[in-house]
Amino acid sequence: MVGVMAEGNVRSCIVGHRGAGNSAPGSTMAALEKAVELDLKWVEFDVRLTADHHLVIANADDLSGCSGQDIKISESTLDDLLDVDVAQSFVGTDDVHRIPLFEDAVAFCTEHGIRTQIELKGEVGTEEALAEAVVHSLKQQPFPAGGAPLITSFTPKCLSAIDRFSEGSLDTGLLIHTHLSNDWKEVAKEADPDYVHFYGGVVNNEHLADKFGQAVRDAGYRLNAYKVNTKEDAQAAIDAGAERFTSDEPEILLG
Amino acid sequence: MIDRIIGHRGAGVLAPENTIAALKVAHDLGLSHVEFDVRLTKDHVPIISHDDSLMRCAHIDQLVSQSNYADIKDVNVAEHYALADFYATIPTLEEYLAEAKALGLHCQVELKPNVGDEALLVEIAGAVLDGFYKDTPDDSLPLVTSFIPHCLKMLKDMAKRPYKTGVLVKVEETTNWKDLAARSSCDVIHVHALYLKKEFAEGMLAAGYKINGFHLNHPETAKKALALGCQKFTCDIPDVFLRNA
Repeated sequence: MVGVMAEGNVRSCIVGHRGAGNSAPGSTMAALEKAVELDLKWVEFDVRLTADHHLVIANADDLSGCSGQDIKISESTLDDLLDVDVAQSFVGTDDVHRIPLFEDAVAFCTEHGIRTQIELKGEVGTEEALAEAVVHSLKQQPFPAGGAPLITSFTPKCLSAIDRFSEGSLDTGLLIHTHLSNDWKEVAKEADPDYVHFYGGVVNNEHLADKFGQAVRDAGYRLNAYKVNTKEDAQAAIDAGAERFTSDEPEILLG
Repeated sequence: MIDRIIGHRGAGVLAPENTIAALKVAHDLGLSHVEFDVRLTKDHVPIISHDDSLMRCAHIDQLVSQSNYADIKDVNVAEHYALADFYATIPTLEEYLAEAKALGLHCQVELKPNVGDEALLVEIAGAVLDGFYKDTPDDSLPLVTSFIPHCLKMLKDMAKRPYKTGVLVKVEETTNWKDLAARSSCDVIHVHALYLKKEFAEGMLAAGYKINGFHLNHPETAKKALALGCQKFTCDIPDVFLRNA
């Protein structure tokens, strides 16, 4: 298949990783604002549970990487977390960025007509509680027709729990760790997702090209990719049949 | 960069893992190092397989530890591999070492004991290594790794050759690296690169250990790990990694 890297085509495939990829401090409201500015159609962000069971947006449990402070989301209350500047280590901003509440991030995206891909980051033992809280929170938010989020995870348990709590009403996507690429069917069997997501480098690989794409579609799943950061990888993902892909470099792909 | 890459289970996901075919792909890609897993059959033959169960790779509900070698030697462990119609069998440790040597590949051998058979695996695999490498210069010996610290300690105590050893640190035990390293008497500490923080890396280097990474598939992550002092790392898609590095 010969793909066409038409601008509109690519734009509809890009999911801004942690908001707007490297164009803004990841997992902040500023990243979502940047996504609006770039006219992205989809954004991705990670949701986690605080110690007092609030839902917040953050990539890692340990905030030392982004904030310089030795603090963990799973061990902290929301009040404590709201004191932290989660973009302290981002070069290019002196502004203070607070950890976003999940419902605020979702509401912002709905208001601006951006679709959301929400990754569940459940610490071991909290997968069910996280899924239940996410489903509960999403039920409070009305989505326009065709505007519901896609819920993703590397952990099959999280997605099975989403299916159960949402009674199958939410679309799910299973992220496949690169080292488990050949074993994706086994993992998918456990999660029963709508989408299967491979690393872009696996999709654009002369040894593996299209084999996963075709196999995923033959098995009745839809294909997405993650970490697609170059035009070549984007083209390969589109050629392999991926509908969308997260990217840290939306501006490069659109440029 | 290519000298830093260790093909995970041979050539990562680019060939059926832990098979002779994987060594050939690793070699064709220009890699100099491969990693693979050794465990015991019921009749104590050291063979190359990551899992005890044959379910994932061969789609057979059978355990290596409960099977005699003769009964599993012809099983197709490429059933899960992305390419259809591929046939590949389980190599013995000796066969694997010989093929790696013929291809000029340096080896990282992971000991995969079942609970209770740690000493037996170390003794049997150690004897095979000693026999195979009896005339090999010290600096060309394989690196022996394990998640089980006392396997490495036992190997150092009983092996005839001075193998370097590396303890594999599970993600959730990263903060506990000092204890694992001390208990294993290892030379190298292997960490999941995403969890290699500056303070850990500095502590490991200051204590005289080398650092290797595992599951390092993205060049951005690799660059960070290398900047912190990581020397080599296992990789599942070395071709993509090299293209993007």
